[in-house]
Amino acid sequence: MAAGPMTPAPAGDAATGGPSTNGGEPLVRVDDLTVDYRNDDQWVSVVKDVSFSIGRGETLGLAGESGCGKTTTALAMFGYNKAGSRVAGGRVTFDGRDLLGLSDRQMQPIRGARISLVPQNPASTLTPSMKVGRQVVETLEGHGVSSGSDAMDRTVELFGQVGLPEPAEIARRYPHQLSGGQQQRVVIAIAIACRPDLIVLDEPTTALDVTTQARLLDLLTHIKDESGMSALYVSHNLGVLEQICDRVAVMYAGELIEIAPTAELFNRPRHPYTRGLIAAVPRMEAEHAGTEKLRGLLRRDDLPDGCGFAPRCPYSRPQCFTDPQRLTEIEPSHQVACWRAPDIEAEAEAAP
Amino acid sequence: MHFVRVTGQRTALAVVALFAVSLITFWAVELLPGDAATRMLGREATPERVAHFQEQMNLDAPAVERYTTWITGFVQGDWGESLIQARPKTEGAPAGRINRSVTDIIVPRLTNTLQLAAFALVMYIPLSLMIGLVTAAYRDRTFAAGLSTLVILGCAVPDFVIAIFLLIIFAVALEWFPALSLVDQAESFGAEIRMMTLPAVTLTAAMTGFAVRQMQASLLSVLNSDYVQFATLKGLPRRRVLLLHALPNALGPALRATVINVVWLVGGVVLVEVVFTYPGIGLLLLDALRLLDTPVILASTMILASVYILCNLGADLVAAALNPRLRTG
Repeated sequence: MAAGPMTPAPAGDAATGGPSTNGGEPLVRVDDLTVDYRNDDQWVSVVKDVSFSIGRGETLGLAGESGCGKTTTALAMFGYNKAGSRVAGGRVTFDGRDLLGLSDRQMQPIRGARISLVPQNPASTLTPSMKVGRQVVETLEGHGVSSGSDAMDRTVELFGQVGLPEPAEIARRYPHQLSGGQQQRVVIAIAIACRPDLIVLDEPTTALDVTTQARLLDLLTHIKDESGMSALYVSHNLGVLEQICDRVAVMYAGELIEIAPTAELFNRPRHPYTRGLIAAVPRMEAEHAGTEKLRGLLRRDDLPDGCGFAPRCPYSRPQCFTDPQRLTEIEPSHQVACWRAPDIEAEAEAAP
Repeated sequence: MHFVRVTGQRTALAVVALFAVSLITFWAVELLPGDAATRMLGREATPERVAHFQEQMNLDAPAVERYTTWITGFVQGDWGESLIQARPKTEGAPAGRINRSVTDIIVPRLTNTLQLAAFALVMYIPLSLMIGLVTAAYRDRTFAAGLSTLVILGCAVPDFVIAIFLLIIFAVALEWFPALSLVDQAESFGAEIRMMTLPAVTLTAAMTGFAVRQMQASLLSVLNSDYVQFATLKGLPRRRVLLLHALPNALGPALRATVINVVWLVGGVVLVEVVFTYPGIGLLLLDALRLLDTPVILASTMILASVYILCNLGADLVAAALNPRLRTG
């Protein structure tokens, strides 16, 4: 796989962006999703009015720094609220069905079978007391894909598919007897076991070392190309998203602030925060579209009424602190939540 | 191999600990004011009779010699004879041996205590597992909150208060159970169970509270773990997630709680046996202490200490068996 920094996004209609890629309804539509977490006696919105869609076969990247609400958004795809959180508004429509209205029992046949997850930390994702083969088998059996020795055969086959050496032997091991990379391959095997329509990847390589990261990225790209499933790839690492995604959405403090096709976003980032994020990606070449480095940290307890990024923004005006910004289309399929976006580009170009 | 070595080490340590217990107990009893002769003879303790008693019982020998004699016998299975309890008159007493052997005294008492403890444990284990699982898994529901409150109440009320309340309500007011648990005089197995019920319930109530709290704490952290979330998002039924993914990984702390409980039981039975006049080893130890009957004190203490040490050893082995990380090394 080509991994140059400015590689254009994979060819196909997906690259031209747009919410629906195959002309029809997108596979997933998220509308005005708001998720609250309980903080003492108050509910605090961790995800605010987030809307996006994922087309069939499309990979959408979701970028942002720690605590911006990426994982919470990803878990909303499963109609799953962590303890102490609630969906305060919005809709997640999957293949025409509103998932947030479903009970846990109604979600059960969808979870793991039609939408599956690869979480961040493989070391804590697999159940320590159960052999890893068993953890794949129970997924296959639970969704009625196969059972008994068929399920075990399929598991070994899946382990081979995700590049585990001696798959039959690995299936008999416990999670702690595998390396981090192997554990994550097992998790990926579980995630693709029932051939889902959507795979949600929540920082799937962050906890691994760089070499393993690169191998797993190759594996994921390969699986996606083979299976044609859609993916939501959550990461704070824009370099990774650039390699694997058709479109990228950027979140800041619980809000979506920019969304565009990958090549467009990297060549012409419009939001000051996106520019900062891209500038933070280590590059071989000296020159790049956004050269402003990010300053400060995201402070949830001290957000202005207006744009959440205003306190850290080099271009902010007094108005930014008071006027909320809505995501608006600045070019076809490129949306930005910054009223100063047009000026900023000019200003940045004028600067040395 | 690792497993075998650890087991060996722990067993050797247990022997050393038991030896230390015997030393400490012996010298502690030595330091107590008074002696068996004066306690036994009471008002009739003239100097001559005391001297005669001490000579007969070999109490005039130096303490070190008496300890050596006792421990030599003990490791060979001869636990000596009681200083106080006389042999039944019907038996022809062999020369020089006029009192009941400690083994004869202790075995029936120990059997009684083990029966009581077993009865309590049989109720306690499924009860605390069930309450722990239900209150942790359904903590948002009202019935679970009610159950948790009951458990906290059970923890907060001292066991002797529970015992006395049970006595007042079920033995005195309702007369469902006898107030004295004289199981040795029970006429049938049913009567024996009835006599054991109140003391066993007291022990169960006292142990369950603590174990449930431990179970809740460990289950709550397991239920919030990544792997339980992942198992749920794999689309597994709730029951399977709870029983196969959460429970096995939450049992460690519950098991440690059970060990602490069994250890507590070693002391708890003494109290409960006293309140219900239950003829077990606890009541025996208390009586022996009152009379400074050193051989009985030593033997009872050694048995209670062995139970304590064996439980700890057993728990480590079971924990290792439950945790593949320890089992497979």
